[in-house]
Amino acid sequence: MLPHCETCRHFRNDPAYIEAAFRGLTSFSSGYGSARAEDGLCTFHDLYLSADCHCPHYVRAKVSPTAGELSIR
Amino acid sequence: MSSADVTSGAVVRPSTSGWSELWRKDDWWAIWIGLGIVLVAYALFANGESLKWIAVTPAKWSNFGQLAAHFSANLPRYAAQLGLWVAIFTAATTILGHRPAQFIPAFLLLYLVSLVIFSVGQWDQANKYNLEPPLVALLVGMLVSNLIGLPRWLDAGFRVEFYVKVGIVLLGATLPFTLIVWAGPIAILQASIVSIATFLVIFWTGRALGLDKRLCATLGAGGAVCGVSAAIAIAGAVGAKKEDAPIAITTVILWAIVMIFVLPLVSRALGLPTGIAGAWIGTSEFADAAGLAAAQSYGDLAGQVPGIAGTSDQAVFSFTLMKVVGRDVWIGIWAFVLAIIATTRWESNETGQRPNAAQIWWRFPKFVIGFVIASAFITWATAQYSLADYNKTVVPVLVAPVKDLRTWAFIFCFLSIGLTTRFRELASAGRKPFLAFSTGVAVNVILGFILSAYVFASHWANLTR
Repeated sequence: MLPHCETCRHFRNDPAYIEAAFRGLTSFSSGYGSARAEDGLCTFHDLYLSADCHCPHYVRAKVSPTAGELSIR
Repeated sequence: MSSADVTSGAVVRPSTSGWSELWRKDDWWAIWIGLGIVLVAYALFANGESLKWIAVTPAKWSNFGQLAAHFSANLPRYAAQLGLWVAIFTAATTILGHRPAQFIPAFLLLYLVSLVIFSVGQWDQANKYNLEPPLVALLVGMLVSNLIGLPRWLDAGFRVEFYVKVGIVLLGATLPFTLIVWAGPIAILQASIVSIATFLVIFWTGRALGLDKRLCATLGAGGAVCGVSAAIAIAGAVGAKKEDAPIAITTVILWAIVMIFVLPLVSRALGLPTGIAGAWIGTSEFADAAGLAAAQSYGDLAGQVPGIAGTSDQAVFSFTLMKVVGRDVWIGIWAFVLAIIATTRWESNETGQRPNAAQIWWRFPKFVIGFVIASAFITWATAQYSLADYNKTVVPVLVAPVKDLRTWAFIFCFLSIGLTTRFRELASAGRKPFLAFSTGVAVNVILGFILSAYVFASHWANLTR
């Protein structure tokens, strides 16, 4: 079984990152809401995907407790 | 935090799924805060006390002397209330991942401007000049964010979705549970008819214009279910392109803001009872926060403007039943069904996307649970009172303070909508997506009106009677 996007370095689903990437999102919604589940942006395919997707281009991410800060500039 | 670097993904944050949802999602924080306030209010009530000291709101006034006297006499109450909001909201947002150093000054600004707007709405001539607090908050916020501009970091305190969810949980405490049971099925029926029709119109219009299926589904959900939240939920469920969600966000925001003003205006011109107008707004608005602004501003006209029957509560209750119970709770099912269609009927990609029934729960708007529990708890806890005793004893000591705190939460929300809506920063929607969405808007508004004002008119007009 292939590992899921959730732990892939191409996959970005930090709520603050999603709010910064999708301008206007916070006007009527939130990156922290339940409806968004754990979806995120795949920077390899340029798709917005569920965290349980997978593909042959998976690369394991280095997990950092401060990742949320690092992912937004 | 001025821009997103979408291309440099070296690290990811650990998953927030599972039990950690209880403190990593704003839905759950709305439940903890909302139910916490309700429980404290009830505990005080049961011991002969009341939350009303801290649930202070500006009083009606006709000259500045009266207003100044009110603030002079109640300064400690406002200070305590501000301290309470700062403490609970800072704790929640800090755990969610925001910085207190950014949230606290932003919230102080939000509270002070909300206080001014609330006070303006209490002027005895406010209705004469259409100064309903929801609309004033929205307009002031949009003027500031689009003409003056505020530092981006202040957005940490302008949490539209968080405040509206807290307000809706508090609203549950003021809504009899029997009303949810009685009116819920009609709300679900009406909302389902309009949601399915709206989705199909947007989807097939988009397809006829040559748009991609996944973009059409994202736009369709934005118009049919719960606005921006639905659009991004469906975008994720069907594996939409990165640019699809921002297109849907732009179209939803533009139409939601138009409808905040248009639906109450048309309702007023037609003299709709507040219950009917609330149901129509609940069917035809695109976001909870936008719809509450419209429903509350129209409800506030009851008793103030000749020809508008009903009460303020009827507008807010019928809106909430229609929007939250009738539409919002189904987002997980929409996502699951569309994921099945996307993976079995549409062109595939190499992302291994597959439908997962668990997302019906993952995407469920959990704050609705708090709304229902708050309603059931207060209904149960006050069941032994006769209607006369309820109105004489329970309402002023228990229900009214919770309602006043709810009003504060909604004003924070309405002002935050304006302060976070920067039109020049929105993605370009493009002519075809905007046309497809607008066609759905037309169907949605007309069908919603027919069902609210004709087919189920007596049901909505008599709500709470």
